[in-house]
Amino acid sequence: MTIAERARRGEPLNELRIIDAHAHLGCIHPCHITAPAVEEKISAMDALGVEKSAVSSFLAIGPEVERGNDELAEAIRRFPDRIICYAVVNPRVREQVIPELTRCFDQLGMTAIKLHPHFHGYSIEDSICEAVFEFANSRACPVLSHSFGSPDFVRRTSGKYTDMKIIPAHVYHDGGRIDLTKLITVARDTHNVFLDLAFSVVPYATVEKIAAIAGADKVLFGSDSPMMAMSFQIGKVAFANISDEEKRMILGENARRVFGE
Amino acid sequence: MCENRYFYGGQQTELRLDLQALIHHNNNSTTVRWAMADLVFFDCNCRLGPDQFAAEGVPLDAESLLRMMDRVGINEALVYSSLSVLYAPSVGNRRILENTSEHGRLHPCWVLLPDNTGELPDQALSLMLKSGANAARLMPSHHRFSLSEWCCGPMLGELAGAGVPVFLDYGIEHWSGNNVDWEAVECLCWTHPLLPVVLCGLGMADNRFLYPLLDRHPNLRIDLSYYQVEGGVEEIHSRFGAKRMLFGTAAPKSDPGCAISYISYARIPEPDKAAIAGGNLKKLLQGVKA
Repeated sequence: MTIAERARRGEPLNELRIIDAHAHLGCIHPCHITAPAVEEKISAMDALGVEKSAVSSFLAIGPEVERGNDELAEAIRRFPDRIICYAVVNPRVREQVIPELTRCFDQLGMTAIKLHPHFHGYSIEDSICEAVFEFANSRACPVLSHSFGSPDFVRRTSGKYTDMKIIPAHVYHDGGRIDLTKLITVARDTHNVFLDLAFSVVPYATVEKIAAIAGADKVLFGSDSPMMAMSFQIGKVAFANISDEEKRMILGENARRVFGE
Repeated sequence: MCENRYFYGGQQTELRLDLQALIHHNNNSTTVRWAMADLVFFDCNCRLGPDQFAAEGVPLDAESLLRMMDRVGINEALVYSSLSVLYAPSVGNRRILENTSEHGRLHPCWVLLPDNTGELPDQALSLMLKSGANAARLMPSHHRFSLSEWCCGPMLGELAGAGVPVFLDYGIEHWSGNNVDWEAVECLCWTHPLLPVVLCGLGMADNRFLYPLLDRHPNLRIDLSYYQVEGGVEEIHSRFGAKRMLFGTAAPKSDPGCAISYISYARIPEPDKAAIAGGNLKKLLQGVKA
């Protein structure tokens, strides 16, 4: 059976070794989050056959960075084979950036970085972010950011920090603010830019169009769960009019490369 | 290269596509044959017809819509005309009958207006039912009218008397907007308790409004085309029952895949899943009194 046929039947897709590259734990104020805890995350993953979720803390991208990172560390401790953790820092608090990233990576077992310029009140293009990029480059780790600025900035950053993996989140979410085609083209033309598919509004055949331009090897399945349902978000890939080989890449193979799993 | 346009949050974005790459993708696709034992998906929220804003490749006629449905595994669809939205309901309602007449899997839904201005024919409801359209869609924001009794009372009374399901569409483009007139929904459901009301396009930030209304009004249901709350199907199933949810895609504006997997992977008993996928809509349409 094809991936679409199996998804239509609600069969877990375990052997695809799916990685959700963009997920969270905790709560976010506009929404009634029905599944904020890590156990509920694991249950939602099991229903779909998702092997791992790369998770950041809603608390950390909000008002309490360190406490949020600590809460996430507890999730790794309990489910080390299922959870990949994004360390969160707020670059506006300059003196905390490197100590907190070092603590998260060297003591808490985190392996990636999440930035949320919108919630923490800065622009990713500000020079204050350079310390984060230097750190990420030195660890050759991924940086997922809610917005990664203009396509030109993404291209420049890709060229300057060649070992860092750049993941602009919610690729479609930036519709109207950035030149989307240009961003997708930057992903195609660079070795270290990958596009996150977590977005709530899914115009017809969006995944097909992004994969056609960027290449399926540059696209990552992300859900933004539990803000959005993993089972909803996976449908845009599972039923896309692309080959199963391309779906395997988007759902897991690319993320394994990016996260070194 | 060509230009294609999409709408996002009321803003227009342009995405230029490499058509050769896209054609390559489409040539690799196959139409899937779905097993009889699988869930029967009956889409309650589907649009048919021309759209000047649609991107290239979006299925706008009945044949291409049916091909899309075959590809993803949607068995039937309740369809309203894009002309009712982008031009005039009086024209769209005629056109949807023409466009569905030769396609048994596509069921027409009329878009109604209050009868004060005389834009729809006299006895519109009677004509609608005689023509085989057993559902109505109301778009109070888009068509600029009030659901209050002073504006829509007689029409709503007739619809309730005939048990016609009403799909209430506030034109939600993004979950962060505040499009829905919740007070009007409360008043509608309270005033017309026999009127089946299906609220369309709710997002993941609407539960604090939605739950008390579901609790108070057994005649209220929701379409799941954009709902996407993590564990949301399970939570509504547990609190209010499976009959309060209907599968919908908002296709072809939206991609249909998300809405399918949201139901197929729901952690609820299979019969309840089947009801949400299609059974609930079928029952609503069968419950209409001619």
